[in-house]
Amino acid sequence: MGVLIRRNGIVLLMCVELMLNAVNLLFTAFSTYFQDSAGQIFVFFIMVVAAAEVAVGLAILVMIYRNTKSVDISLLDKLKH
Amino acid sequence: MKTLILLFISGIFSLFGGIFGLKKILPLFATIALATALGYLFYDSYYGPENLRNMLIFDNYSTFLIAIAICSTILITIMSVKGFSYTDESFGDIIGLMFFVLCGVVCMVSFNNMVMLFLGIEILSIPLYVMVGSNRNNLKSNEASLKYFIMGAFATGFLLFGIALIYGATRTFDLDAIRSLSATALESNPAMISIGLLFVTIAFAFKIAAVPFHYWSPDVYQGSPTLVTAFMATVVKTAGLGAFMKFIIYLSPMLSSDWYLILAIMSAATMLFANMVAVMQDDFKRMMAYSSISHVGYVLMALLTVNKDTPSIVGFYLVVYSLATIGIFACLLIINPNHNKDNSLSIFNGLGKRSPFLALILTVCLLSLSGIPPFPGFFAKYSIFKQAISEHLWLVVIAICSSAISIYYYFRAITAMYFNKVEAEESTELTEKNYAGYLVITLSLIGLIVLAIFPGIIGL
Repeated sequence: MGVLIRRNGIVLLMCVELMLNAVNLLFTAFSTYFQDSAGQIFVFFIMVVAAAEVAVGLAILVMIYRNTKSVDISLLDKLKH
Repeated sequence: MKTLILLFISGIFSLFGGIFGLKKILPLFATIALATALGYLFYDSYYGPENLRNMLIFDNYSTFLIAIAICSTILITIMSVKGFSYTDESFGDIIGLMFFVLCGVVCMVSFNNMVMLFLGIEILSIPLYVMVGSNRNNLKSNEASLKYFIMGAFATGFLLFGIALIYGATRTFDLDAIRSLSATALESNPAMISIGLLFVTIAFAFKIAAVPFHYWSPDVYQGSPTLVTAFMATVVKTAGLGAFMKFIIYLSPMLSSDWYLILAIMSAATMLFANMVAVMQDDFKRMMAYSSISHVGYVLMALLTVNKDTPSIVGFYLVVYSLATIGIFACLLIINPNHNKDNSLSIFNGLGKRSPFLALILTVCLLSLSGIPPFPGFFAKYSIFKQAISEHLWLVVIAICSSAISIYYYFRAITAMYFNKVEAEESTELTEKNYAGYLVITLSLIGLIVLAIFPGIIGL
């Protein structure tokens, strides 16, 4: 839920990570319960993708910081209806 | 398989080509590579469906969707000769990222395992975040990129949670196994499996921008460079809808009537809401964003009744939609190549006098999107309505009403072209000749005419 309410870009990325880690935990729990390794393999894929995603997310934040000198996402309201 | 490998290698090659100063030949190289990939695709499909360890299956259906995506990308690559003038130093990167997005498309539409679905969606999304933000010094582009990133990451969370719950109920990621186990799983774990399916559906709704998960879409379409907007509106929509269709067709025995009701309501809301809001937009790119959201609504309506005709109906609709959308964005790029200027509807003022050819093509594309009879958009909509009318009469009524609304805003652009007077500062001629852009619009016009004369040409 942090993704929806937080206003700091960095914290937002951390919230995304938390969400993905919750899913990882669910996968490992299921796979130990079923004695089936497929779930744990999936966790590796999620970790790789999460790392790639956060790398891109941080790059976007750096780009925004260069233009606005802030990581506060409430400054970003230039696109209006 | 060869297509996937070729696309990946070409992507890496374009990245290096951008570094070593081969920018001049990159669009040519990309076009040839894409055409070769298309050739390999048809060559492979000629020998029947290819099955990669039950992970990816390249059947007729996925071959067709990949072909749509590759053809759209060829047109957009030709456009890119002039389209990325604002960012010369990173031109190679953007062409490379386009190839990587296509790799994601290939994985997404031919998935036979939830792992490949997840990886495909991510391979598609991550390069797109970068492409949307590729206009680095423009704050609007930055904002669009961040919004798309956050929404995309959020959707990924939903998708993964859905897959985890389906895994918990069926103990497998394989689509065939899930389908065969679904009867027993539905008895033992009805809540888990239906919530899982719902979450995966929500994730798809985010990706294809269906109401009520569409809020990112107008902002992102407006903020990103016009070429990237065209890419997102065609290739990414095709991939998302294609993957969603495959998901529904494979898992249709698991889907309850409640699930179909949710999809029907989502489709109705998407059509009505998007068309009504589009009427109020002054920015042309925002208007096109809402228009593309409304087209998602029509396709969702086709997905409600799954039978053997569904893939060809949806495929035809996607081809017509992609061609018209690419034509429109190519015209926009010729008229307004400067990305920092706003794209309000007034840029079309007097286009009928300034450039009759452009105005003609823009009119044909807009009328095709709105579904006026002689144009192929009409046949595409007609076949969807005909299929849905027996089971969901109320939905067809809503769809027809919302198409009527949509005609209004498409005609706003058309009347601006032919009837509005040119103001003094806008009377600048289209100075720079953009031959690549003219080639693209001519190609899409020819495509639309062919589809209007032979609507039956596309069959799966």
